[in-house]
Amino acid sequence: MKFNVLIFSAASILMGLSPVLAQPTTIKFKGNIQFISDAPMERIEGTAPATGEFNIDKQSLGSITGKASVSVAGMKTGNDQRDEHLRSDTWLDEKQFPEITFVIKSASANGELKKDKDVSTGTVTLNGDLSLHGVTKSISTKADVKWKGDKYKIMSKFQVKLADYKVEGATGIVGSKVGKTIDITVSLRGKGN
Amino acid sequence: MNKASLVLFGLGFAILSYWYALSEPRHLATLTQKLVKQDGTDDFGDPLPDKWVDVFEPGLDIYGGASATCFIVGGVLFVIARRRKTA
Repeated sequence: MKFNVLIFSAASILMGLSPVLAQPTTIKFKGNIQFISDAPMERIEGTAPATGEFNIDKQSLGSITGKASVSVAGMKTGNDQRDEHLRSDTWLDEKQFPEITFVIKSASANGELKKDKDVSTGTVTLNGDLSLHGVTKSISTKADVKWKGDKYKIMSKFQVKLADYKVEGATGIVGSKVGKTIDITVSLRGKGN
Repeated sequence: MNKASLVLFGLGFAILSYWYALSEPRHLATLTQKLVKQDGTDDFGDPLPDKWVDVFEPGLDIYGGASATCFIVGGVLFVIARRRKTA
């Protein structure tokens, strides 16, 4: 009898603490980034494949950690020759720096979780290190984390100044068609429990 | 100036003018693929991501090449005609 009471008490305590003890889930993400360079001469739109691995605790989105990577080799702008230029050492130097990475250093949840039908959405501010072209800089960006059942989605928008990452590019007419600031939209999807 | 040169110079100028003033959207590089918006939403209720579709939208690399060819051929014809005249 005493043993049963002890088991029952332990189970009750653990159940009561379960939200506190909730373990973050490691989820692998896949998706792409979309980038826009808006220069006076031409607007260039492109995509690149991206992957990520994040530890997400639905109860505490502010504790999110992880890393996202973008493949420079997979960058595409709708013109093969321009894509080659983009990957060359004049621009992103794919051979030396094949990936663009973002590593989360800290995060904070913004506001309450929203629930619309069966989709939960939380907004977080991610502070992390963005490494591009061999230069690492700390950036801060807002991201929406959504989940529906075991499906997850992370979306974020931010800007990158090419000069900050020592991407100087070509001079003259070729260089002038690339904007100094690039708008980036990240959209990653993953599955986990 | 002979007629052929004049026509070619005019054509070269017209091609460049067309690219600059009338071609929409105006590209420097010819596009063989383009991102287009997709109708509908994904299972999170967000708009579907833009999709790459095959297109052919010539840019200055093609218009400029055609225009330069006109100017060069026009120039050669002009020089030949002038030499014939002086001979």
